[in-house]
Amino acid sequence: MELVGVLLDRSVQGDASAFAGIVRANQSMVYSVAWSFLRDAALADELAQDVFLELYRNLRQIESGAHLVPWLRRVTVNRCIDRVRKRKREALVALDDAPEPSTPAGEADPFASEQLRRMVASLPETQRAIVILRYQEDMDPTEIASVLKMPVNTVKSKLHRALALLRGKLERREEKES
Amino acid sequence: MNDLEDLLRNALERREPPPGFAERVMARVPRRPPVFAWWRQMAAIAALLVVTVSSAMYERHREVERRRAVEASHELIFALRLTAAKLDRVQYRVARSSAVVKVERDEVKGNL
Repeated sequence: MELVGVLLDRSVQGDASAFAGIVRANQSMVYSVAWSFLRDAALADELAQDVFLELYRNLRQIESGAHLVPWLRRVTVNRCIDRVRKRKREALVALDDAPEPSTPAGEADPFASEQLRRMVASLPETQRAIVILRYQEDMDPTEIASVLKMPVNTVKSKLHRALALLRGKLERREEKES
Repeated sequence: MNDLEDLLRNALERREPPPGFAERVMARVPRRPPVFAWWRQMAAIAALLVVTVSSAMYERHREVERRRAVEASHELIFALRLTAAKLDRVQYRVARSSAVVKVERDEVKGNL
């Protein structure tokens, strides 16, 4: 964390190589959140770049190295939610309307994981953000509440609801298979 | 529920962006230093200016005070000298008056 603080200070002073170091250290996190949310590599790449450019413009807002990752997570999630809401032409497929994943017999785990990722991507934006932050970023509900600026109990209830939806979907798939 | 959570953790693993991501970001970063660095420099220059001007004003104030002190000491010395001269004159007159009185007293005694 101390190294991040040093890179941050040097970036604030205009050191481009230090800022590149910050990008490399956090690109996986930002890109993964965007990819899981949008399920589009090109869009995720573009959005992740925009997040880092916003970081560059707002470097002074970051009080310390410890604040950097939460800031990046918050901005990434907010941009993802905005992007999804603006994509009117690519209307979200509601979870109940989503086609049942048809897993061929004997399909390996990667396929099941892909089906699960699709189910996550079909969740409403806020629930999707919560599930991604919880299981991809391994954040607890308190941290997620801080990122999304909502009460902890709301996060817990939305997470519970999202898991129930996903669970129901998985059970229906298993019934179909059997 | 735990199974589902494990499945989600496996499914939502982090992934690396396409190669050259950082370079693409840096290509979009403006070349000039951030604006606030310029403001920092300006603030530093302003602070230096304030310190320099304050120091010069303080030095000037001390010089004026020193001159006033020298002038005051000169005036004091002059006043003391003047007072000493006056006192000498008074002492002289007193002494002379005393001598005259003594002579007159002696003359009166002689007449008697």
